Amino acid sequence: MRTLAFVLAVTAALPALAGPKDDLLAADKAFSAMSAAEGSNAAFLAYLADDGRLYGTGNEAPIFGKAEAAKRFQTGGNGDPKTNVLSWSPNHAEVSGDGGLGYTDGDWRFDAASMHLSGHYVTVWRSIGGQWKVAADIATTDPKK
Amino acid sequence: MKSIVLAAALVLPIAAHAGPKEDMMAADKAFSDMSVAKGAHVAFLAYMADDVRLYDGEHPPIIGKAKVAAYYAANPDAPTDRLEWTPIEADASPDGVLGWTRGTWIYTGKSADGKDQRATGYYVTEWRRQADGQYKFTLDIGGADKPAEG
Repeated sequence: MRTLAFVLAVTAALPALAGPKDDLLAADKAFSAMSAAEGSNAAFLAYLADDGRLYGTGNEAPIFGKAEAAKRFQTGGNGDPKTNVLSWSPNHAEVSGDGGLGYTDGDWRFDAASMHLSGHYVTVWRSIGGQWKVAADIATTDPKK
Repeated sequence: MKSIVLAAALVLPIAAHAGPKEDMMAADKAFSDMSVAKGAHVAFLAYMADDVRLYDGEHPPIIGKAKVAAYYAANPDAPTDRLEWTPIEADASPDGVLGWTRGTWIYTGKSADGKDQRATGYYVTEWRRQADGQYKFTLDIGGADKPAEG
């Protein structure tokens, strides 16, 4: 009986003890939800590590660091979710055994009135002060059909 | 003379105690060297983990070494193809098991009608240390630089 009670207690606790991969997938999904709601510029500034690297899809020079991102976003990026929406969906994650580094990979889409693009991405994450922050982000664009 | 001995004494332990970042940079360089010497497909198969995820931008990711091998068999390298790359930086998890390198690549080869082809781009490669201490890559993503305007 004591064993059963223990098993029940452990099982009940499991949803709260989601593994690090689930935590990271949840962080990436929340990141995308923020991009859709507030614009990708705001979302990237919220999630980027201070020394994070944004490689984008190679159309523009990479952005090194949050300060540079803030500067570049003043004249570029995707600022207004009413005009265009960048969103994505992770389909895989891996986290180091010590929980310090991980990555997610998945599919992204960009929707504007006159343009629809899609592709794949990889985001490298670092655990900083208990929060997952973006250390690097890189993407490819699907060829035009 | 004494300062040379001191310098040598300082340099040797550093080389002997390279950390995971240095190991990953070295693995990535050796990987590129093998690509130049033996062809990209041979090198990719030698360095990939069994559960690899390969993104090349042309199609959905190819997942698993067996699927990659089948894809390569159906789409062989041309003898004139040359793919090489240069890692620029690496980052590793505190335990050194997982990490990534990023850098730039150069492709040269011949088109079907014999014309010289050249392309450049960027990549990120994820690495995982194996039981034997060697790094293999678990994920590779890269894209081509946008062609220069005009």
